[in-house]
Amino acid sequence: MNSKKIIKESIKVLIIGSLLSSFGGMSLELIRTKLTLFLPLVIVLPALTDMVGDAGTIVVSKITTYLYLGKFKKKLLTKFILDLFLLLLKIFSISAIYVTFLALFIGYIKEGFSFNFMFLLKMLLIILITTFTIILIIFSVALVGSRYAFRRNIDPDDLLIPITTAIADLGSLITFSLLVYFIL
Amino acid sequence: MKLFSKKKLHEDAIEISLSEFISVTGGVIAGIFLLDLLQNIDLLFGLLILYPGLLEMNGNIYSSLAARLSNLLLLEKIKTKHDLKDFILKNIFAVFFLSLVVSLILGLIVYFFVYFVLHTNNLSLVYTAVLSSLFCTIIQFPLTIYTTMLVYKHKLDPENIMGPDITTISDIISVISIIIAIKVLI
Repeated sequence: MNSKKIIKESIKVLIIGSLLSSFGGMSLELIRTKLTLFLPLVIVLPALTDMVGDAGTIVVSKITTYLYLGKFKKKLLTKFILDLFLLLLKIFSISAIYVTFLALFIGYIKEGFSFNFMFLLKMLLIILITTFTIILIIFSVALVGSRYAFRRNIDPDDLLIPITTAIADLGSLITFSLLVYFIL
Repeated sequence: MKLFSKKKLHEDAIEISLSEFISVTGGVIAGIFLLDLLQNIDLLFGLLILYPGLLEMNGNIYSSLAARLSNLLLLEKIKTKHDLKDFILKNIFAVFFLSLVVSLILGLIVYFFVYFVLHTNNLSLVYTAVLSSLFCTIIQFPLTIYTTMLVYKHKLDPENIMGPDITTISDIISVISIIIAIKVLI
């Protein structure tokens, strides 16, 4: 593939994707003061957006394979889909808990950020609710969208991975900011 | 083994957990650098709006670059040093062009948003966006090529490994590049 083709195929997606993420960044302005006060919230941010973005990619690629094997024709919620949802919920809940404790630990070691049990609970609640909400949205979009794309002969991977990662980025930053604004 | 059996689901659980562990730990490292960025937040009003866009842009550019190289390696279309040189020459212009143009557009949009909505005139946002993308490209273009080749040489599938890892590496390098750009500008 030559340079011209790479630029032509990528530029629109890059502009839209980065603008959507920056739109999510606008919600961070809402909690600017709280971010400067509660430093572990800053440490946890890139990991949180990474985590939900990964969830989107995994869900879409798994559902796409399932569709191509013809296992997903009539019922939307099969046993495999429910098992996959529960599995991802478990893995990402554990990741959310791990990342919260790691951020608190680093905040304490690096910046001397001291916290009480109530703050730990609130931060854990914020990260867990953000993760659950976004995974639920991504799962619903992937389930409905993949069938839509498949019926129209569009590769669900190509259509849905950029959509779900954009939802993950934008959605996680907005949900996180709103929760920090109201809970902390 | 069946693709949707209990055993496969169990194997998936282990693979996803391991890759997530690496990915989120890398994310936390990016967060540590983000703390340094936060110290400049009062100097650079609008930085909180700009940085997620820059991270997303760099993640997309370098995961696509790794995917293009992985495809060619797996299809055995890159066999000699000459093939690799040809790939690099075709991609280096595209990557530099995309980084600089998209970061300029993003920087300008964020600048106008901050100017009209938050009533702050801060042209440094545009300079930071472009300069940090330039630094990021200088570091990450060779790094992406090198790591993809390294993974392939060790008989591993670069498509499975490079995808999640390159976005995490990209996050860390992007935040460091923004910090360097701010230090150069201020």
